[in-house]
Amino acid sequence: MPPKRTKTSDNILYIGIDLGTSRSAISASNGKRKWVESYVGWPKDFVARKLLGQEILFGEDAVKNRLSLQLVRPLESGVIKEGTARDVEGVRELLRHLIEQVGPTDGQEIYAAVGVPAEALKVNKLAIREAVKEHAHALMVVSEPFSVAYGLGALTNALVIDIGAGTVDFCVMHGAMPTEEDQRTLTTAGDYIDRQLLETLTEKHPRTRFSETLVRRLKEEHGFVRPRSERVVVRAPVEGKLVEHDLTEEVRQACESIIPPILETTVDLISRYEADFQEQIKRNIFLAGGGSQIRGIAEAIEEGLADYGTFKVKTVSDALYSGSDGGLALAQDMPEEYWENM
Amino acid sequence: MSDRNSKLEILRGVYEDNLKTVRKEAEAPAATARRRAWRWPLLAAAALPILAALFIELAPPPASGAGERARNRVASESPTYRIDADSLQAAGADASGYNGFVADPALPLATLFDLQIKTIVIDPGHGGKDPGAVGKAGLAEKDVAFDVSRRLRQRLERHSGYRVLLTRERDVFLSLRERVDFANEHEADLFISIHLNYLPTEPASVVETFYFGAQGEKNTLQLARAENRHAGYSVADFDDMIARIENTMRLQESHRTAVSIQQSLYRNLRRINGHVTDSGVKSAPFVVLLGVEAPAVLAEISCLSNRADEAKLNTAAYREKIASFLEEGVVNYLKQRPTTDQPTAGASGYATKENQDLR
Repeated sequence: MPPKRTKTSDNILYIGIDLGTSRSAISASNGKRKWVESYVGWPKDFVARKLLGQEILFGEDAVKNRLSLQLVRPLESGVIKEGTARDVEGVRELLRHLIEQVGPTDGQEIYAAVGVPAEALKVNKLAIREAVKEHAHALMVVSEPFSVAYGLGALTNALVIDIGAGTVDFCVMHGAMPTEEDQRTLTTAGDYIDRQLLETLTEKHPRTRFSETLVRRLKEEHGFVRPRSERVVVRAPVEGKLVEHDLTEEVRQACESIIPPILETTVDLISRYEADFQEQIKRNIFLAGGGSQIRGIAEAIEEGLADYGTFKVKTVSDALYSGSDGGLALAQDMPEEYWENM
Repeated sequence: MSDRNSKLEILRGVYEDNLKTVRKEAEAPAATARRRAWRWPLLAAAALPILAALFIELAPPPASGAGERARNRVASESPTYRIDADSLQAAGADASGYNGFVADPALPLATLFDLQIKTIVIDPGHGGKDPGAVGKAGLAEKDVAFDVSRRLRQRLERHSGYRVLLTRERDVFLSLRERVDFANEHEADLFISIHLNYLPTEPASVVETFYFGAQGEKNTLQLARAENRHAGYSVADFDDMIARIENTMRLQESHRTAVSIQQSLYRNLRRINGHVTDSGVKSAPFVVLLGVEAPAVLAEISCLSNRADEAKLNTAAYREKIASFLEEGVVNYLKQRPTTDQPTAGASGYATKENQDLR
């Protein structure tokens, strides 16, 4: 392993950033870690600007004040949406905000490793570099699951499945830089669960108005797969009166809807490798990203894959920062000369 | 490999990958485009000797042996294309004039002229602000078309001798005109536009492949109108393009490509998707097909209005399969014609390794 440098004293701040569809996180070599929901909002007009007292809002603040804002989630669907300059600007502002949060000192150079959804890496690499380079002196962009794998030290014989909001990204590590052949992307991810759940609830409870925010909260706080005794009960207004709804089955079914494509893609991806290697990967699967926090998902995936052999699926211990921590480790390990042209 | 070496290898890989992007950033957007205006005069030049030969064929018989000598002389004086006297003889014998000659399906002009396919342009339909059709679960046509196109490119690049380009490399909106311009500026020899059907009243999954034609069924015309949105052409441009329909070679080759793709797509799909319906090869006035100065087809590779199809399309494995079916169709078409690196028409059809299992 190359000697790990602690260059804060040399006026370099190494940072790892996980630029996600739903949440973005930063880990810095000065020990600070921060995260923000990936929302950026600009006041719609003069009145809103006066009222909010800010030119731009981020994360939860932006969501709370969404009616007064032009709100964007710049990496929706796992890529920067084209044709909307606001989304590119949103990425730029989000990165600026994150970097400010870890407090680089005046004159300190920033060397950043940014993990992005695998699809964004394929289609928006130049746009992302463009957005980040304004705020960093040197920059490497990598795919999010790769960043997680690097942070875990799972560099060979491993599969990382990063279940995000916009995409589920798969990355097989085999001791070398993963190529496109080693990676897959599905669009049935966290946002897909939200859509499924909202559709079902709207059909089953036509007199109750469920918002996208409520549905997302339901998934994040109560999301689970496989039968369990705990009930998911919410109180929601029906014609002005608060009524209790038992949504246990609806939440379970929506969360389980992403599992079949994950199983199929896992089998398809692993089957491309030599038999020996396949067996090792099967026992070294890591789930990362917000979707890995759905209760029971690792066990459900193991069960679903049982027909294809013995699989061992683990959930990363710190889903929120596993990507940014991996990016930071990569930034710190990167030989000095490699940063020169970046 | 030790952990240390493995890590160093990976770090070097990250560096090299990023370096490529940095270099791309530094490159000025080179004006790669050379208009293919040369192609039309060249074709016209190549056609002249043929017309001359036909004229000779139709003229009153000259003194014994003169026509034969004239035909052989015309052929030998054409330095660019191998036009042999026997081919001309065959064409002349079956035809009563130029129209008959070019309409003879047994004698594709591209084969006669020995025109080679070097550049294949794949056009992922829609993109950016234009999602195309959107399935009930939210899957957008633009995303599937893009993914399948990328997979198809990767597959075709494995066959040596072809440059394979995509009209868009990301989720960006392109007008049809921009797509056509891209193909023409990059001197496309074959153009394949990838789309998905959306037929909410049809329970089945309909796959079909189009090539340009002024005539079409009512449904086809409606589909053409939908796909022609954001065309970016004026009426004058359109009139000018219509005039080019006389380009028989392009029509012949477009039709042959469409047949080959549709056959492969349907034959393979029906084995893994029980409700797929073969809508066949059709001609329709798609602007994107008309403007391209090369054989061009538009394939509707699946049906997003069908819930089962949408669920399947959401998996990488299914998209990969569709790409392999398209690859098979394209390669079978290419094998029917002479190329620099591949032999002329093989007797047996090409099937990708995985599709062989489906046969």
